Amino acid sequence: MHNFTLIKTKGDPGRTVNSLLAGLVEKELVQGVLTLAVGPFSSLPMPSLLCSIEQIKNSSPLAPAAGVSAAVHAARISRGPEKFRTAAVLRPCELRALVELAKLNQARLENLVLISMECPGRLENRRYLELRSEHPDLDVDYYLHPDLQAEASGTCLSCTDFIPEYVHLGICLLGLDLKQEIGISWHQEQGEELARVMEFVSGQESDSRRQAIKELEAARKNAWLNLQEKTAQEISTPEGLQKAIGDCLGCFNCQRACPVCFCRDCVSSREAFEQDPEELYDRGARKGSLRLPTDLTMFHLTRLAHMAHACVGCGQCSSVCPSRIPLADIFRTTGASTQEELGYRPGRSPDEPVPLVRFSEEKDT
Amino acid sequence: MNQNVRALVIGAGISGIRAALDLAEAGHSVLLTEKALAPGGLLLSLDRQFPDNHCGLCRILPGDITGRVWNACMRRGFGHPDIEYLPGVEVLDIQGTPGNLSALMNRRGLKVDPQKCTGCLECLKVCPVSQPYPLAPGLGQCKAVHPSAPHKPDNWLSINPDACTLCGKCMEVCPTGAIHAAEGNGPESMDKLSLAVLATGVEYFDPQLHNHLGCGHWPDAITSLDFERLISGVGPTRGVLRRPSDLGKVRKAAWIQCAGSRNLKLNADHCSGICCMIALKQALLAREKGMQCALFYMDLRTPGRNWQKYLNQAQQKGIRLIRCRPHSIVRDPGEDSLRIAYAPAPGEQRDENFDLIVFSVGRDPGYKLPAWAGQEGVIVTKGSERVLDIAGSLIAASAAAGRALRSFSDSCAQPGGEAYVSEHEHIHPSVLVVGGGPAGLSAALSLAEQKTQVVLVEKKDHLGGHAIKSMVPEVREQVLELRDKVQKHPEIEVLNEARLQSCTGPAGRFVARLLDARGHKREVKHGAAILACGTNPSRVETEDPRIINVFDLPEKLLSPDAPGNSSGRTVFILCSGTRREPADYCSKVCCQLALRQAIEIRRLNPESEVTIFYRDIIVQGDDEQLYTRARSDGVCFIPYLPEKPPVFQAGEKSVTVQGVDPYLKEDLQIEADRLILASGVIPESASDLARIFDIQSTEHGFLKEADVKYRPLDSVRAGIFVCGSGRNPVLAGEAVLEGEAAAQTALSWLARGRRNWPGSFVRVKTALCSLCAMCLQACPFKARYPDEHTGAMAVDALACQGCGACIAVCPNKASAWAGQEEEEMHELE
Repeated sequence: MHNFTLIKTKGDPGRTVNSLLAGLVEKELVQGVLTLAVGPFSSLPMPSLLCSIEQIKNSSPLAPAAGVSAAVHAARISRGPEKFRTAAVLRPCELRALVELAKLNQARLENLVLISMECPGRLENRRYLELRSEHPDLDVDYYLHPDLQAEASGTCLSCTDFIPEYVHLGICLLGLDLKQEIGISWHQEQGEELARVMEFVSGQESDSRRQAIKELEAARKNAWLNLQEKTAQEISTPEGLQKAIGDCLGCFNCQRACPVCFCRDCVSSREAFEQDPEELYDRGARKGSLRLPTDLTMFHLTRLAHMAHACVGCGQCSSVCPSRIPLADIFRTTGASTQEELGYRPGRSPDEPVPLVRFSEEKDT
Repeated sequence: MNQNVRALVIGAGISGIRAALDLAEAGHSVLLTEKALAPGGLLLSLDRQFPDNHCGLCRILPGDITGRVWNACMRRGFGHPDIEYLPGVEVLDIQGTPGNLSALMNRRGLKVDPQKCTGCLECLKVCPVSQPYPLAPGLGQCKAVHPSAPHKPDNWLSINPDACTLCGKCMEVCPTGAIHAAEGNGPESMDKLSLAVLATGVEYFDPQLHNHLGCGHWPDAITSLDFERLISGVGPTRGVLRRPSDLGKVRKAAWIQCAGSRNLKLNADHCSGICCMIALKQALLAREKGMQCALFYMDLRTPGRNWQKYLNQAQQKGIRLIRCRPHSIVRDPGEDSLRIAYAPAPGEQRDENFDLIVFSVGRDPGYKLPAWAGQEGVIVTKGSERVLDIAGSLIAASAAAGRALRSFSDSCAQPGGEAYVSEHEHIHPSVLVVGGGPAGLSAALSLAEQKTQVVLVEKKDHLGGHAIKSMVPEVREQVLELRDKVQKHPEIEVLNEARLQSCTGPAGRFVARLLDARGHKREVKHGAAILACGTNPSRVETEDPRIINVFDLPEKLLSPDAPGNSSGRTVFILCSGTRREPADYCSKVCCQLALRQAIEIRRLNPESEVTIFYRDIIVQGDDEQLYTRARSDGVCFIPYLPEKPPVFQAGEKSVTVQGVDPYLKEDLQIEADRLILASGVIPESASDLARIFDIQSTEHGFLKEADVKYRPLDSVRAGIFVCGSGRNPVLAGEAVLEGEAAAQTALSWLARGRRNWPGSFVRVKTALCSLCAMCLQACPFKARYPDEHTGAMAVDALACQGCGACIAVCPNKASAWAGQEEEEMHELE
């Protein structure tokens, strides 16, 4: 990679990124920054739209947390008029979700500066709060201690797409001594333009970086293949799938948390899923007993049918499930085979049409 | 509806149905008679059709949201509010003058009322008659009362009037009184008919009657029409291929082409045109069932842009193609199968056994039109003169409907009715015709003669296209006459040297932008567009004056100092640039042109030698006579294989052509004074037009129709029609016919604007729409668009054809079938 430069960190890589983001606003390249920040009432960093330089300098762009997917908010913000240009700092999975949303006219990428990082994974919200009480400098320590990174969510630990793809500025963290320096890479025309204005000087990447990426790739791939095989086995039969989702409460959190589910009003909340007492009695009488709420298998199958091709593997569905159903494992496993079948990688590029609209009976069957 | 025009259409096969629909859609009242009870004609017995080998009987009827007419299966019957369908009626004679014709008809036989019939089939038990099964005479007997068509439910019985003895036993036994002598049986006259279209189709050759190669003697030698029934899932063997003689399993089958066609002994100097493709299809279907298939042929005729691919597919799937005419079929004692003796090459005698032999039959050489077909006011569809494929029949039928209306145009007022209710969905009552070749000219004139405004746009500075240079005087005259009429017609504005730049707007309210001859910008509002751009000859890259493109020859041939015009040797190489990648299609025009030229060269110089290297001579119908004539005139024909085409080298004295003698299997060298290359045609402007009008084009750049079989002249976009060589290479006469048919199709579309178009197939629940625009991308008809007023994706009701693609992609069910809520659909179960 040629478009790469190193920036000194003076011990806190997060602050270095903050200064960079503040620079974007100071140079009037953007009007605001969307990134993680801790608010006055909670220690959990949440996606925040930051407009003042001071707030940007206090944000936590590298905090290993993703309370909700920032993709949805980046998409929402980007739909404003052109005068609102935003720098969005996203995890690679959030970036992929944003690209998917852009294909569906839910985001306008031209209003965004896309910034993402090499992602060692995020912590579940509760775990983040617990660890933070033990490590006041968690956002820095996390990158320095592999045992902390091992606490990342299960989805993250088996994620092989930890390097952002469709990005303007990439924050490079792997294989570097982050106490000393972080790397910045730039991509696409917009990235080139930013690098010019920010006066980045192109430099060489070290072998240690490449080595670190390779190692992480190998470890993640191994974890993913094991998980995929296990999940595929479990859900290979209708009974298996029903067992896997057997604890579902019907809260539909997974649907609400899913960043690529973009309908204004999901079918699951409409008449098709309504419980008509007469029908309930009818079904109950036929089967002897009827578990309530009903039609949850149908709900999950519908979501799989609608979204498996677009699943970016962010794991939010698993994170928000009160019954701890491994929904992300099911989605990613189904998604992987669907995506392979269709030759589609969600989030790779906004120019890649969604399979539903480019599907051709001749070519795809 | 215009009650002044009362049209009679005779024959309810696809031609008749198409003509009747065109007349009815244009707002006229139509009587449609059919000798049989079931509509559909021959097509009903064909289960599957190439190129996709699917059934298409639902694809002919137009869709209509009100359910008056729906793309229903034609096997279920036929109904249209403006067409009176008269089954079981034969027309015996027509007399009178256009505008006041009277037809003598005969209603015959007993009728079974499908409303009363319960399908108990008691009548079959008592019927004393045994007749060959009408749909497949070679495959067993049935009673005089029998299912009216394959796939019909049991309560759709019909009684064959030719076989029925009127004994009345079925009437006695029928528990519901469903069988009755139709009231008014017998001859009847129908008067005050404005016009009549004869669409009865041709009669097929019956090899049994001629004892053709022992057909009739061997039960396992059947006709291609019988084969359709044999392989049908609802045929006598339920789709399992069995030998008719002993119901033994068929492992190996042979097709013998040209039974009753291309046979001077039978006085059949014509090519039936469709049998090669039908045989390929049948062999492919049999191959799917694991059969070994061989096809004996003389020339495999796969004309036009579509069928070469199908042939390639057949070869890839292992269908053996054997170029020879078998001389006998015998059955050896003790053998179950039949032995075909044939000679694949001189001196090479081969015997091969087959379980089943299929004769590919075409038009009966003895078939003649009835005498009254020549009556003024009676228009005969081309499909009643020669055998045409499905698309060809439909094109010919639409053209005939148009001719019928034009022959009558003075008294034929604009179809009446109120202007369409909604102002913004009104169809502009004019047509833009692109291309001034034979197709474009005939389309423009047909429209103008039916009182429709036309703007005709031509790239060049003159009209007529390549056809005005045609070698055939009749073609030249026809095109020149068309040109004169077009130039003089007050309804037609001709824009020569015009450059089309864009066409925008919703269906029926198009706006084309173009630069006229002086470079001025022009906007043309139109309700329909007919794209008739034609093709250009492929270029032959050579400086050598002795190497000539077949399309440049006529002028050079006629000049007295033409090289080789004295007593030299002329060599033609056909398919020199086509029927292989990158132009893997047949240009159709070259063979007949080369034959005409060869004949002309021999006529001018009886001393000269003419040799034609060819792959397959592809001429159809009566053009076969050109081939016969060329051979008898001493033109030497040498077939070559695509993998070993002849090569040539221009030397000082002559052009050396090297090929292979297929019989001696030896190299062959000809020192030619003149080499003529048939390098085919290319659709140069078609892809540009496709882009401008936002329709599809094929991999080779031809304009693509909505459905190659059933909607050959529609594009996928409503209101945009395609015809002529730019769609599919055609001869000039065919291009004229396609132009007329396209005009008629366009008129039906314009007439929609005058009727109360009932609305859209698709309803949009605006509150649910996320504006993801997947519907816009998925819609093949460009019928979805973002509506600024509602903030949702809307449906252009005129362009929507009800395919449901948008409903399928909409994750949110914001797009839904109009009038068909999900709950209602569940209730249908």
